Amino acid sequence: MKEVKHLPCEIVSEILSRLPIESIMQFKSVCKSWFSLIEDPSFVKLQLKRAKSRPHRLILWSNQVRKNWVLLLDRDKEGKDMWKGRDISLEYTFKYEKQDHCLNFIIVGSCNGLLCMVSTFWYGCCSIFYGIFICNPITQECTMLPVGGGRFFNGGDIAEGQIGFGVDSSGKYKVIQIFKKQSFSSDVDDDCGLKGEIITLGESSWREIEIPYQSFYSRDDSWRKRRAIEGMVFMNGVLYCIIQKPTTHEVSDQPIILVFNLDDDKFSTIEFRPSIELPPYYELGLIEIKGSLALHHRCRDDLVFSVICMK
Amino acid sequence: MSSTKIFLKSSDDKTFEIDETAARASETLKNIIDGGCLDGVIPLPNVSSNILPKVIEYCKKHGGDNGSSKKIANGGVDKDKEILPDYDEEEDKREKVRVDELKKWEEEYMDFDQQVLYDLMLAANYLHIKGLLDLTVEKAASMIRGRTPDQIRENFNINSDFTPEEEEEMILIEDEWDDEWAFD
Repeated sequence: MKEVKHLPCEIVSEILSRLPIESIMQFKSVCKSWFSLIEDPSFVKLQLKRAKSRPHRLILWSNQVRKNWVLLLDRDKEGKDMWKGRDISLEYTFKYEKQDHCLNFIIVGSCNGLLCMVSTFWYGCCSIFYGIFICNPITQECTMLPVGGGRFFNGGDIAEGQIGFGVDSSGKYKVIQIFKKQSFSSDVDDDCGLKGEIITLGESSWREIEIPYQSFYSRDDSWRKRRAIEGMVFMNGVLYCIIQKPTTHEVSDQPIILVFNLDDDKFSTIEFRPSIELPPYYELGLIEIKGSLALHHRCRDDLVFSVICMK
Repeated sequence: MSSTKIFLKSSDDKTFEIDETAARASETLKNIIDGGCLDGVIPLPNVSSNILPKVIEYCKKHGGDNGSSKKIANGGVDKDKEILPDYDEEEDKREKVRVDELKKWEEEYMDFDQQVLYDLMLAANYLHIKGLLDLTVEKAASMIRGRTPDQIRENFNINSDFTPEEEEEMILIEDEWDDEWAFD
């Protein structure tokens, strides 16, 4: 009588890789051989390959409704436009969080089901940067990245910065952080350039990378002063964000897209076509829509977004 | 189109006949045929006589399936495609009928007990029949989908080989999951 335990590993892998990740995580406790099989890097690869061929899952950030919860949406098997949702608390995930402060999390990037999150905590009326986490909300695994040289502070408060998270063609996950160089001479942050750091998941420290561009994009300084850490858009091994176009003239408020290739760690830029005319006082951002990069912008007091798709 | 006959010998020394085109559905057999190592009967020491006919049945259905059956269905009408705009519809219909028929066949074919499923998975793996492996593995996956680890152990006669301490840790993890699923 043949039984499951007589099946070769590769068949058991094939079977388990077709199950939802939730079941897979549960089945670690069936027996030791299943446990080690599921933990095996080659199984992780196979599972990822299968998961990618299935209909997409969506992770929504529902911090507004419940703090530090995400909403996972699954496409219903039968109905094409039916979605099933389920809340996942990140409380388990961050159980080793700073005890004396309540941490807040924002998602700044996601890739292959992993989330890159920035955590902050309130100190008086200042929102203070705590650290960057990579977590898998479904398996509840989480790791905090080492503290980099990047200081997302401005007198205690959070300063603006960009954080990008993605995977290169060899399957290595990388995080890049871009922030303003500190200026010690004055209390206003002069444009003394941008500084960047990169880390590969598993490494113990950040490496500095030279950014040949001057500053983040901000059209209307007075309202942009609210400071924020933003996520870069990740698409096919490349990270994108908006910065200020370098110029020889006195003033330039032209945005330009900064492109960072995770395979060779090199920067380049994409210019907007002059035909793109935007109304004044806006917030500019990038998003990915069905594999294309898109620009979204918003007027100051307007809740309406408009989106321009770029091919 | 007539085809060369190939003879396969099961682990319990019974011989079965299969068309060469059908045999090519198996990567292993295809390599043997193409490698010119064909010398009378091919012994299959890992496949028994009660499972081999089932494998042959699958190969017959899918043999020469590598796009060739589709080509035959198209029957060289490709050129007419542009001239006859309604051709696509016809072809779609025929394709749909073909797919529906195959689905029905698969359903009937896959109606067997767990023991046959194991044997078939092993045979498909050994003979490198990708389609059959996908089909059987998918069935096995659907059998364990949504079960608890306890049910899996009971159903498939697996002994938990964790120490009591490890077990306790595992139960903690499982409990967390029970909470999670309460939100469904």
